[in-house]
Amino acid sequence: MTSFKDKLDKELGEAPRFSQPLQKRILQHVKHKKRRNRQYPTITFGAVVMTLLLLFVMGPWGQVETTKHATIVELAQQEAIKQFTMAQNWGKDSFKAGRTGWIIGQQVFKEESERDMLKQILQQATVTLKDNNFITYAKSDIWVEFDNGQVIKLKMYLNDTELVFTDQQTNISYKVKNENLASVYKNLVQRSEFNINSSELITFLVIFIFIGWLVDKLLRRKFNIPKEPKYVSTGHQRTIYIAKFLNVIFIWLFSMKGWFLHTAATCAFLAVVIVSTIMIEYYYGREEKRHYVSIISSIVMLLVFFIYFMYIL
Amino acid sequence: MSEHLAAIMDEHGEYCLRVAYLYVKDWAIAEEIVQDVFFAYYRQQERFEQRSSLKTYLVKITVHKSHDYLRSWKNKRHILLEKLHIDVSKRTPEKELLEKDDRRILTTALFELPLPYREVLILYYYQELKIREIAEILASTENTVKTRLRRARQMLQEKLDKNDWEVLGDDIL
Repeated sequence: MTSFKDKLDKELGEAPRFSQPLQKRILQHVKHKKRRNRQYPTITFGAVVMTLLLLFVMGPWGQVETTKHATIVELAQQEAIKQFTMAQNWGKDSFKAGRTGWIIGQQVFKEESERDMLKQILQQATVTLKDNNFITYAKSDIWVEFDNGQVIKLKMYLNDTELVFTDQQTNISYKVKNENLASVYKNLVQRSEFNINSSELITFLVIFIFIGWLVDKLLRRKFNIPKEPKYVSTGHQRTIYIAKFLNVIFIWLFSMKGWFLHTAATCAFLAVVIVSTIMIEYYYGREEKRHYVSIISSIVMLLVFFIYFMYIL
Repeated sequence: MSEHLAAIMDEHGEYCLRVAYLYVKDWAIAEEIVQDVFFAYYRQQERFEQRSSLKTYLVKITVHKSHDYLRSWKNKRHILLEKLHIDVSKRTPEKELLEKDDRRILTTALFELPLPYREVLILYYYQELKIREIAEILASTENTVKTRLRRARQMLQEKLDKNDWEVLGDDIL
């Protein structure tokens, strides 16, 4: 009785099919493509740098936003306010308000009544000495854009009877003694408070983790992607550990410097994390289609994050 | 390094090519697949951790590359053109001769089976891999492989004469 293997070999032809020319072709192909190994990380690095540069050019850092002005009072008398943004900030050294769309957690004011109120505050201000003992119960950063494109940054302090603010560019302090204005401003500050409810945050995190787990499970089942072994090779494991370590360092650095408040910085961070994860999975786990999980999970997670972000703002 | 790759191709090239052919039914495409297999192996050698034999590892890459090809638009377009008989000019005399060959009974019957059943037969009877190795290559469970193998044998039995059927023997899973 002929075995299946023998019979099949006989039918396929017993002469070797894997010829020397084919072998030569493969060796040439390997030599030729060897140079491509460097192309892959170069393209990845280039793409990340280009994204960062694009964000830099488009972002607030790329825009010339200030011109010299004598005093804020003069400026407010000569120019109309186009819009202003406000963010709560008790820190002395940081400034958390900025161009609209580029800072997370700030309130944007474009209404005429709000602009008029700020204009009145600025027009009624008088230069004063900086008083570090001034007792306040609200501190906020205000970024103001005038119709001529000029921008000023103010640190505003408030108590029941008066407002004190400091121009961040000139470091000159101003005082406004007007109870009515202080009261209107107080209402505005209360409106602009950016609070994330802790129970909502926990609910979001639970939903986020659950969706992540579910997407991962469904994708692995759909595309037959094994969960074990977790790492394809020691090289894969090492790269993942390095990427995780760098992520933790960046998260710590961004938190310390408060960079996460900047939309561009957050987007750049997310872009680098997502792109690097996909690239690592693609490079090491392409045979098992592991990058499918990274790509689709990233899209779904970004969508969930975006929905939550729209909900809290 | 090239010498090392050449030595591996000398030893394993032939059966990788035959496995690829049994998946894609075209020698030219099978050669392309094998080219990709050895290129992938060369590029990511460090991933081979010798948990399985090199033969199993290379068969695994061949199977995955063949799956990729069968899923590709290139293959779908090829099938469509063949169905529409537009691609007649590409049919070589060798190909036509082989298709008409009455002696290719087992190959013809094998190609008539759906891929999930054909591949378990190829890997079990032709490559002589163990159920556990097949399950690992196909990323499925051993029970799934056994079930497919049993059904594949039944399907093949229906397509073969009694004499030809004997090639599978009385293997009881």
